[in-house]
Amino acid sequence: MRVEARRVTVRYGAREAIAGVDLQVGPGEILGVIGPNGSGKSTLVRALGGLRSPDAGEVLLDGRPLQAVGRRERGQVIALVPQETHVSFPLRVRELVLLGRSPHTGAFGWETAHDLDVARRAMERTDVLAHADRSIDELSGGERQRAVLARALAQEPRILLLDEPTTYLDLRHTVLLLDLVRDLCREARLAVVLVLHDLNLAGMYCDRLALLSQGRLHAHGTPEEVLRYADLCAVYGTDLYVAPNDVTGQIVVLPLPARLQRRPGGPEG
Amino acid sequence: MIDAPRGAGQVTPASTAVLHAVGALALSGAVLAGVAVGPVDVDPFAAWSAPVDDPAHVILFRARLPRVLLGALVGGALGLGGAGLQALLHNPLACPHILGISGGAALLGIIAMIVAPLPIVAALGVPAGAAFAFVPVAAFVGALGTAALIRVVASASGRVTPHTLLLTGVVFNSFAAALITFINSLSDFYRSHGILAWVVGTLVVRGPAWTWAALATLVVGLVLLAATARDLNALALGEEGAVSLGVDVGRARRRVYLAVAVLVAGAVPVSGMIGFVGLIVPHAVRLLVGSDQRRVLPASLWGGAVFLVLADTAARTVLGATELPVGVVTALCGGPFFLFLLRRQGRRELAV
Repeated sequence: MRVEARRVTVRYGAREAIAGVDLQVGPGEILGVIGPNGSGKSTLVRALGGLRSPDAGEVLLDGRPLQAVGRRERGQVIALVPQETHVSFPLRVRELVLLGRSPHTGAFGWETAHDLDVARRAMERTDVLAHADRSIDELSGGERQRAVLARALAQEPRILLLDEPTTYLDLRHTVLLLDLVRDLCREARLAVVLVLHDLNLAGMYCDRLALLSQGRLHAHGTPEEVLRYADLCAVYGTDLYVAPNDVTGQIVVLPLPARLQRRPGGPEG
Repeated sequence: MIDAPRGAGQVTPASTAVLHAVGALALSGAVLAGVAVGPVDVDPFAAWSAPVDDPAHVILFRARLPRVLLGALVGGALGLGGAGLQALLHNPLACPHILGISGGAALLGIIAMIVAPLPIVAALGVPAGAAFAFVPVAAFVGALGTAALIRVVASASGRVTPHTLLLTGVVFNSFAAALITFINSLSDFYRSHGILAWVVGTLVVRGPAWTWAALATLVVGLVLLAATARDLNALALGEEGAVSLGVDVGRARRRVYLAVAVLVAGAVPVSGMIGFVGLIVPHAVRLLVGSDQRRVLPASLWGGAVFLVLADTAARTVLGATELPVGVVTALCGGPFFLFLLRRQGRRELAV
C-alpha cells in the first residue's frame, strides 16, 4: 500500500508545525525523515498515521483520504512506533504484543490461535520471545523498544511508521533494529517511514530522504541528493563536515565544534 | 511455544467462566461469614430451614441477608468503577471517591432526599414513594455532572494530566463535603444524623426497591465496561497508542464515565460515600490476575463485593453492639494503602 501526503499543513494554535508538505512512500521502500528539532518530523508521522488530521491538504491511503478510512481498517494497515512508549500498567511483553492484534479481533473478540501465532512470530522476529512473560517495567531500553516494534509487527501492517526508534538504543541494538526494519520492508513489501536524528544512519538505511526545515520540505530525493553540504548547514544552522567515506562511498555527516567551524551558522552565515 | 505461568495465560471464554466461578465462590464464603457473625451468632444453614417465626430465621432474612447482599452489590459497583477509571486515566490512584464522583452523587442525592418529603413535592402531585425514586436519578446526574465538570476544569489547561485530574477531584470532594455539611447544619437532628452517615459511608437497607436498583445499575455498568475492556487494554499505551490501534478513544471515555456514573448512582443512595474500595480492590486484583482488563474488570467486581461484605461484617462486630460506619473501616485500610501506592508510583515514574 502507498501513503501520500498532499500539501499537508498541521497547525498547533497559530503555529504551523508542518506546512504544505508533499511526500509519498510505497511498498518495499524506506522514506527517511530528517531535520532539526521542531522541524515537524513527529507531526508529519502523526499526520501520516492518522493521529492528527491535517488542517489543510490531505493524507491519502492508496488514493483514499485517510479520514474516510475506518479506525479499525487504519489500525490493520498502519502501525506506528512512537519515540517512547509509556505503559500505564506493568503489562507483560506478550500482552503488549497481543495488543497489536486488537484492530483485527475487534471489541469483543477473543484472540484466536492465529493471533497468538502472529504475536509469537513478531516476538521471534524482534528477539523478545525469551522475555514474553516478563513485565515491560523489567526490560532494558533496547528490549523495550524491540517489544514495541513487535507490537507494531503483530498488527501485520502494510505501512510502518517509526518515530526515532533508536533514541534509547546503543550502537548494536540500533543496527539490529534498523536491519530488521529494512529486511521487513524488503520481504513483506512494507512501506516504511523512518524518522531519524542521525543523518549517517538515515543515509545508510533509507532509499529516499526528506529534509524538513521549519515545517517545510527543504529537500527531497536520494540520500546523495539530500545530504549536501550547503543544504544541511543551512537547515541545521551550524557548520558540518559532509563527504563520502572511503570504505562504502556513502556520505558521512559530522558536526563540527565551534572552534573548527569555517562558516559559523552555515554557508550563508 | 509460549509457556504462560498459571493465572496469567490467555484470556478465553473458558478462563473467564472460571474467573466468575471462583469469584462467586469467594463471595458465597464472604456472605456466609457475614450472615453468621453479629451480636447474635447465627448458623445460616439452620436458620435457613427454621420456621419463619424462629428468631434465627428472622435475623437471617430480615436483618443480615439484606444488609450483606446490599454490601456485595455496593462493593462490586465500587470495585468495578475503580478498575474502569484506573484503566481509563492510566492512573492507579483513581477511583470514584478520589475523583469526587461519589461526592457529586452524594451532594445531589442528599438534596433530592431532603426535597422529596417536603410538602411542596406532594403539592405538585408527586406521590411520596415516587419522589424518592428521584434520589438515584439525582445521584446519577451528580455523578455524571462531576465527571464532566472535572474533565472540563482539568482540561482547561490544555492537556489533561492524570495528576491534574486527581487534584481537581480532591478539591471538588472537599467542596461537596463542605456543601453537604452545610446542608446538614440546616437540617433537623434526626435527618442530620442520616446525612453524616452518607459522608462517612455506611450501608443503609432502605428496602427491596433500592436493592434492586443497585443490582440493575451494577448490571448496566458491567455491560458497558465489558464492552470497553479491550479498548481499555489498548489505552495502557496512552491515547495516541490506542488511537493508532484503531480505538475510538472518545467513545471509550464516554462509556467509562457513563458506566461509573451509573454504578455510583446505584451505590451512593444506599451507602453514601464509601471510599477506597475502588482504589484497593483493582490493585489487589491485578496482583492476582495480571493487567488484562478483560480479567481485571470482572475480578474487581467480585473482589469489591467480597471486600465490602467482609469490611461491613467487621464494622458491625469489632466494637460489640456499637456499629461502625463501614466507610471508617475501608478508609482505615485505604489511607495507608494510598500513601504506599503514591510512593511506589513516584518510583515507577522516575524509573521510566
